[in-house]
Amino acid sequence: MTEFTTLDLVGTITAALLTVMVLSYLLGDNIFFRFAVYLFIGVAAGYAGSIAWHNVIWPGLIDPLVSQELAGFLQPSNIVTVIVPWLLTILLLLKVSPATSRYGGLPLALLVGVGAAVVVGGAISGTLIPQSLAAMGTLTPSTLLPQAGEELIVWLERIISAIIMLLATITILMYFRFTTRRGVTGEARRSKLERIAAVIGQVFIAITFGVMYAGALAATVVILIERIQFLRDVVSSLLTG
Amino acid sequence: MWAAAAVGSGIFVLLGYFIDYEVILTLRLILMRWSVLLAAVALFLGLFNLLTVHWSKVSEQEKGWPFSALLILAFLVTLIMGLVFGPDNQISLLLFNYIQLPIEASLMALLAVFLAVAGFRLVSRRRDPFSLIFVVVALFILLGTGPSLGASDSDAYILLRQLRNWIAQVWASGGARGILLGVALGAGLTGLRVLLAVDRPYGD
Amino acid sequence: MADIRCPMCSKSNPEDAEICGICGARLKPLVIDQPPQEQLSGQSEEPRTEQGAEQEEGLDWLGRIRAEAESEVPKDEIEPEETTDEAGSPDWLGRLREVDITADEGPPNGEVPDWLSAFSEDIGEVREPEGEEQGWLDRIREKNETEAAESEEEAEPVDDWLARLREEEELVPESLGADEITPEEFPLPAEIPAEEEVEEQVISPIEPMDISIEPSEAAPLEVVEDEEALPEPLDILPELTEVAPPAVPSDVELPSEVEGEVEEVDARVDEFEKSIEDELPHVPALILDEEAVGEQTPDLDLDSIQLPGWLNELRETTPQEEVPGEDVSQDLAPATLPSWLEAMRPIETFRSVVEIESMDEQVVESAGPLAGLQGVLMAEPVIAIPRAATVGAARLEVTERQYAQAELLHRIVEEEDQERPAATVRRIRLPFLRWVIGFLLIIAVMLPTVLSFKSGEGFPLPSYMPRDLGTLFSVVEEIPPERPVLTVFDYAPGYAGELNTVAGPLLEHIILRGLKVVTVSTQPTGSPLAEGLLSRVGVNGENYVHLGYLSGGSTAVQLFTASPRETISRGFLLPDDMQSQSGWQSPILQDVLQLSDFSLMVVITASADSARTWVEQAYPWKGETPLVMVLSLGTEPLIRPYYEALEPQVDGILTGLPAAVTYEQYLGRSGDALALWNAFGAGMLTVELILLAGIIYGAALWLFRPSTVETRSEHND
Repeated sequence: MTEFTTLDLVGTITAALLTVMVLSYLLGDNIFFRFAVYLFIGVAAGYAGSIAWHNVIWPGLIDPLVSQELAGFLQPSNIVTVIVPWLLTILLLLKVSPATSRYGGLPLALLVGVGAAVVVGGAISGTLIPQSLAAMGTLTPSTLLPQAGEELIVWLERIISAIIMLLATITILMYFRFTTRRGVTGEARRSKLERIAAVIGQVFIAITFGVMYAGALAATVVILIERIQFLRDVVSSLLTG
Repeated sequence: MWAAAAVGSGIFVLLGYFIDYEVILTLRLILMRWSVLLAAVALFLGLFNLLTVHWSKVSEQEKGWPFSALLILAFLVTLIMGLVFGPDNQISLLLFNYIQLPIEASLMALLAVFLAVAGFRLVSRRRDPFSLIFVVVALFILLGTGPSLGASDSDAYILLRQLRNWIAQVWASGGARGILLGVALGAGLTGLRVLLAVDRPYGD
Repeated sequence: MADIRCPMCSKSNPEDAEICGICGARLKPLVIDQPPQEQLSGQSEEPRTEQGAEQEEGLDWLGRIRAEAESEVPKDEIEPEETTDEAGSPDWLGRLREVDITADEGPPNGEVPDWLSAFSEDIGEVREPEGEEQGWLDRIREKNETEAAESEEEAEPVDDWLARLREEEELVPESLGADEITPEEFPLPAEIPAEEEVEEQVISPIEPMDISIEPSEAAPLEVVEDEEALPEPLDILPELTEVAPPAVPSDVELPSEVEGEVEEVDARVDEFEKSIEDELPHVPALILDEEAVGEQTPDLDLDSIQLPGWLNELRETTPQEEVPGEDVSQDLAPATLPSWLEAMRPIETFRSVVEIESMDEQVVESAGPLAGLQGVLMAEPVIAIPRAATVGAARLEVTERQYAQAELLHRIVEEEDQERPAATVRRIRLPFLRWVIGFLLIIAVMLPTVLSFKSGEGFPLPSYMPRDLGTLFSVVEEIPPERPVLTVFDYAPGYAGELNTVAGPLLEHIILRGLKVVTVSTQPTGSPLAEGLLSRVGVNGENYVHLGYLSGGSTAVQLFTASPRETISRGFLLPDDMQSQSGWQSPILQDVLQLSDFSLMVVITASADSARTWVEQAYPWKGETPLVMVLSLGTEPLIRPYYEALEPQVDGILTGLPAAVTYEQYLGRSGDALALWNAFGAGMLTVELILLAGIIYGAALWLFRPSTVETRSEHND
């Protein structure tokens, strides 16, 4: 059992009260729950702002400006590290007012362009190529052939698992293909193979989401347990003094 | 003009993934540094917007304005404390540990009840094979994840755990790979639309 | 001989007469193969020269006089037709043109009697008559002789009108008008002059100068005043007017007795010609038969012309003939029209009479696209001036029943806007299911917690190590201790209860191995969470250091993996003995320049996106550094493909409380995972039972559903 200082005691009691207030939502929406939520939003927003200021804005914008002397400020290297970031920041701050918001398009464009490029590059080099190779490598001869000393049941299980993984990958991709031919009467027309593959893909999607749901349920049960144990600890501490 | 900036900066960053050329890598780093800085400034703009919205609710005495006033008070106290003393000072950490963390954890704990309620209602409300598969698989996974009711080394429990692992690591893994490939394709296409100036979320 | 009754004036005419001797109307329809008419009609279609128009004008003037006497159209209404006239002419002249003359009564088209040809010497071309048309004069003579015997109102002998020309230089034709000049008044020649005399009479072509001829030609019209018979050519002229302007032969010999007179008339003609070009007002004539008047008459100002007295008299009568219709109709006997002519009669509603104001009286349009023009329909006040809709003058008669229905409709419409109170029966739906499940779940997790099961009691602990855990153990055991471990705390405080429990044993294992931990986070709350977890197993500054917050999401991750030292410049909760505010100045990181310098990368996250981002961005830069993921149970399925690959991008996965319990068992240390195990078991059991109950409930509902519902659903399908 952790020893609580006065400040910690007050804080712990506050935390326990807030926990109860939030859990009271199980009974229905009430003023205590709203109080706790609004308090949480305010504190979280304030803390995020203070972190962003201390860890990014001050060392990136203000510190270079303050620490530089006038002579040093005019160096060419400061164009990249100070002047341009300041200009972009000022332009972005102009987004606040509707009259000047159009000038904030440049920093937003920079943000969006760089972010999009990072996403595209990461998706291609980090997921598409490796995962495609992994899928293709599922049924390689080295995978299909039995390994030395491997039992038959184990080998069969490995083969079946490889086939199932490949089948799951392909059928789910075919299910997400929503572009089809248009029939005579205007309805979407898919071939029989496509329809069968889509149904099998739906089965695999249901299995995958079922596993994810079970994992999320188990995780939240653990969190609930942790909260209940916290309350127990607080109560027991208060009772025992 | 903004489209040119977005496309130009995006192309340089994207080329850096595939071309190992000094100039491109240097320019890429510069652009990403500016982007990181601007992201923090954008976070501040978002907080400012939050403040103005709730300030207007308080000033207009709209319904629920006391809660907005509480939000503004908590926001300003936490921000000022963090700006003045730093986010790693004792008071800021107290605010984080005894207000933000327990509330957020409690909100997450509520999810356990609501997820259980949703699982209970699923089959009764959506009577289709896929819902049934969904719930049955979830039940199997939970049975294999949780502790055994009997001995943990019993054959039944071992079989149950192996079945659970087989479903999670083969069936679900194969499906997840398909989902990942689909997500990567979608994300890549969305990014390309931005890089080709087809989509312009930054405005014209 | 049987007489033919004129369809217009109902006067008797000889049987062989083609046109009426009184009014000049055609008695017999035109036939195409009739040479004179054909020739004349052909000539009427040809573009006429001025001289030809002069000739036509000259020959038609008498016919026009007659037509004008019959016409009911006032001269003032003739104005719109001015565009069809080459030369303007007074209304009385226009009416003269309307007289319908037969070809037999006049010279063929292009031929002018000799007595008229003398007037056209200086005018221009003269069409030579054809030889075969010389017989027309004989026919005319015969006809006139017949008519002269019947009518008392015959024209004077030729000599009389010529005498008048000599005596009166300026005469304003006062009474020349359709209402006053009647066929009876037209002085038809009592005696048809000799053929040679007729031939020598000149009929000038019709043009602006034609007017010069007209006065002289109209000189014989003075017979109207004196009731003198007009010479035969006057009878001929209407016919010529109808078909074509006959040509005035230039080589017509004038009789001696008229030769001097002709010279005098020529002088007057010249004088007249000079003055009319600029002074003649353009008086449009209402020409009913447009073919008859293909020429354009110039504007005519009779005041500036010295005309014989009888012509002045005719002109004076012009203003008085604005509404000649009534008088004419009084003088004219009702006509019996043939069927074909009756069919041609305009409909009753057709307004054949167009009252045209004089140019001075016409208002200039001031609005709209026709602004500045005269003689147009006024736009105002009908169109141009907006005006409010006026209430209908007619009163709406509403019956009692209609009024009651209107009131009812109005009441119904008003009721639509009224808010009706909600139904009084209000069912309050209580979340019983939520209450029951929540109660069960809380009780289930609380009991083991409250009862404080000791270790070994309660649910059995995991007895075997999963495959994944063994791999992780190997990875952690094989990393070199001199290089730090990069740990990414990328989860929200809400998941701290699970991930702190699961990641605790791993971090403890790392620290127990003597490895240093360097923390970083893309969440603002990552660093305080890291401090809360690592402070339990180590000492800040010795065992771990916080690099701080990465702002920018995936961009920040890419920047950090590509250039770690240039990305974060300020640490979090750094030891007091550190001078700098940057975590990179810590001794723990002195040999770290890039990502591959770390011995191990541990990413602790509950978000699949965050895990995927770190895998994608760090994979190209981490080199041989293993990447291990500590995941929430709900995230694991989406990250496992990175692990389950021939060339895995993730080298180890730690997920779920059972794995953490196993890990703690392997370490031989009792941590938070073990403390949660029994409650976890109870909670999992409760949730399993709830799901099972839901499956049974759903199956029961489906099996025992009412038949009506099933039938309806089948129909819908």
